[in-house]
Amino acid sequence: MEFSDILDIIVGGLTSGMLLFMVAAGLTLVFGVLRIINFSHGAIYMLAAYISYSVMALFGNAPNTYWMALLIAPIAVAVLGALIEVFLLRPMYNREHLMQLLVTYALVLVIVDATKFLWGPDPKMVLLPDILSGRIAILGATFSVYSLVLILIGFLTMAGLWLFLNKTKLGHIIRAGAFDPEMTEALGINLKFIYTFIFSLGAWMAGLAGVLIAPLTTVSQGMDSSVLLDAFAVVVIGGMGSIGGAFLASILVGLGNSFGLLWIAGIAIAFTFIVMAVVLVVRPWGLFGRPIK
Amino acid sequence: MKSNRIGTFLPLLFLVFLFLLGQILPNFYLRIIIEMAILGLFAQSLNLIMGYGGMISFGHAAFYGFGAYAVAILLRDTGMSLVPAILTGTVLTGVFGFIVGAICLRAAKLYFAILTMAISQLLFVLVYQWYAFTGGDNGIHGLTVSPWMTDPQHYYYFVLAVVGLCFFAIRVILNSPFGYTLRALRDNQERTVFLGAYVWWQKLIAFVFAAMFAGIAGGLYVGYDHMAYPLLVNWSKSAEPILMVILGGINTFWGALVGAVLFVIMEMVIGKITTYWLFFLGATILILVMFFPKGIWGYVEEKLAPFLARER
Amino acid sequence: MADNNNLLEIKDLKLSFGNVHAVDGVNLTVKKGDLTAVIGPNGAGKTTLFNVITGYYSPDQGTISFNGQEIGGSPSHKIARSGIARSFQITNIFPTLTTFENVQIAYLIIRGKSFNTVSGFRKLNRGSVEEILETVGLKEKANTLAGLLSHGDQRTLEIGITLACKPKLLLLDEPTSGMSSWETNLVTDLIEKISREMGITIMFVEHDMKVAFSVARNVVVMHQGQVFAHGTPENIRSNQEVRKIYLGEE
Repeated sequence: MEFSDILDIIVGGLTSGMLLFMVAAGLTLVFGVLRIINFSHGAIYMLAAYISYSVMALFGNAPNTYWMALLIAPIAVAVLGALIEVFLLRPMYNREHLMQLLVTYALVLVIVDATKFLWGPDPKMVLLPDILSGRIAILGATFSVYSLVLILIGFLTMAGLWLFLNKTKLGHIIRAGAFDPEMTEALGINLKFIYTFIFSLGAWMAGLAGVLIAPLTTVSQGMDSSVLLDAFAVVVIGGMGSIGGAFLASILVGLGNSFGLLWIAGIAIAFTFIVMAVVLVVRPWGLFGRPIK
Repeated sequence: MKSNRIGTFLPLLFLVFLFLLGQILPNFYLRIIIEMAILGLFAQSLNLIMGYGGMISFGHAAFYGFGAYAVAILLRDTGMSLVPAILTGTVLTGVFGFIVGAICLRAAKLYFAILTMAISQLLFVLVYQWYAFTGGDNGIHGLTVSPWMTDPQHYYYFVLAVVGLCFFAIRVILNSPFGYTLRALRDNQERTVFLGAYVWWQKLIAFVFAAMFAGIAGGLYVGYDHMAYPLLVNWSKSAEPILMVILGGINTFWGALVGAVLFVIMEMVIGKITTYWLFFLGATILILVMFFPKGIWGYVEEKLAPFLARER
Repeated sequence: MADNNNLLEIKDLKLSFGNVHAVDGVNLTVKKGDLTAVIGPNGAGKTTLFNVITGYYSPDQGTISFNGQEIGGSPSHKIARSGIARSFQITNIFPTLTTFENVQIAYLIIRGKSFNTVSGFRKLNRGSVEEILETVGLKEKANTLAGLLSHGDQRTLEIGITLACKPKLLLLDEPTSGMSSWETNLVTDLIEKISREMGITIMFVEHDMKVAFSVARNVVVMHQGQVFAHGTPENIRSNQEVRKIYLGEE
């Protein structure tokens, strides 16, 4: 095997890993702060992909309207996320965990059927803008520009989240709120706003991932649950609530899948879950999580 | 004491009623009741750990599907007939439940929910990929059961007997010291530790019971539909019994069954009017959770409380 | 050394959380049949001491001998089974079970019957449970859901739950907290009665000095994670050091 082939596999693995991370990061962030398992995360991701299709159609469907879609669709679902948090989740914080789970699960059913109603069962194509659709040669291998951009975005997301949570005042408040909600409230901090913000941010990230993946595949029914389950696996592997854990787990899973494909066809879905199984047996709280009894 | 007798008398009367229905209803309706009964058992098996034990499992389909596949594979590969296949399948599901439970119970609450979901999805992927053994995404089709069992009316009575027995068994378990310890754990786990309870074992055994009853339901489904397919293990299938339990009423015994019956009816009626029945299901759950958290049967039971024995 | 009259012997017990020495070298002996009040300012380590004795925390150092057996570091459920029952500072009952069932479930769990899946729970050991409810005065409310009881009744129910554990040693953590003076009297009478009629050894944490001194036959004063003084109420009352560090602060 040539060096360029290996490079090719690495880039392919990192691309899918980073796309997965974009989804998983929002999921684990919401879990870490709100202590809510957001089943609707995948549905929001899918919804954003559909919205990006419509935005582009609205602006004449030229490839360069993708930029508009990239701006508008994530914001649209972020607004939806804020509404969901305020009207559906907020009344649930004092209730049993089960009720919160049911709300986010019910949202999956509602959102998925709504997309089916609004956009129909047929897959939709989303085109890439010209700048991103080319290929460039590096070290004897050629890569699609878009792949490299996606990897970059993944790393930037990680860096951005880390800086935000560790180096900003709001980030400190959020981490304090996740650690000890009562104490933080007692210090006069409005957790309601924090919760809305985080849920909305999570939705925005899901939306961004949805729009980013749209040109690579097609926008279609079912894309929500497959990504959600993979993202959950990554979150479990990395440790629930740990963004850094999700990041490393995404890379691990992405690379593992692309290298695994060399030997066994069809291992792609299984690999993630095999890793997860091993992690669950050895460290049920994940690689970077803390055991909580 | 009089009210207690009504509590045992009514279910018997209900069984007699169902028996008579088997004599008069056409096969189409019998099939619907069969489905309700199987899903009712599935929901009740979850209710055992979720409603009474406070353990939220989001992967209960793993056991329903495991039971179904176990029976399907036994029917396909061995000369076993349905009843021994279901018995064997139940034992295997119990063993599987023990392993899954032992892993998942290392975590608590939401983490437990995620772990159960993750493991069920692992099983889904396995079933989906392993063409040689499970038929992959095609599943296992065209299974044969004895001609007697193929007759819908006969199978109706078979399901009625099995589900009836299981409900009775679950009832006995829930009314035993074990069942009350489970409630105590749900209410206040820390306190039970200082009373000398072996919390981990207590929960694990309950989990295995729940897995086995779900496995029986899965096995009954294979006997009814003569096939097994990956959707039986999928996470959407795990959500179904949760929805049924909530629909009927968590913390009630009959709520699980009522929820299953309503679920099947809703699916049929709304499914006939629109292809977007899941939308309405989702909306229904939102309304229930927001405004009627005790569920339909929970509401009825509240109204009937003065007349019935306490059923919690 | 081995004195058969000593039920609980704690030697040089230490437990710290980081830099906080919550229990810092406690030496304490409790004789069979004693009725001991544990007093001391907030943060003196009273509840932590109870938590170590009942296995909620493992001690960093030292020994706890109960009835001649070493129990330091054993898991809580084992210690519970060896005969130490405790109640909690905050109400700690089973709210969706009835008063009767609260006591009954405790009665069955401690006797290792919680894995019985076939017997009808409600019919088991009714007589013994009724007796306990009679003792604590909750017989009339036997069929009320525990979560719907008044605060005072819930606290009393806690004591009922501990009695169901056939305890040799009863650790009651602020049994009168949040109670009216009338309710407090009922509970202190109950504690005295349990001690006198059932012969159970009792240690209880009490905030109200008057209550502690009027009920207990022995008083333990804790201060900064240590047993500062231990003696009869009269002894303690006249101990100048105690007056200084404790009464002076109040």
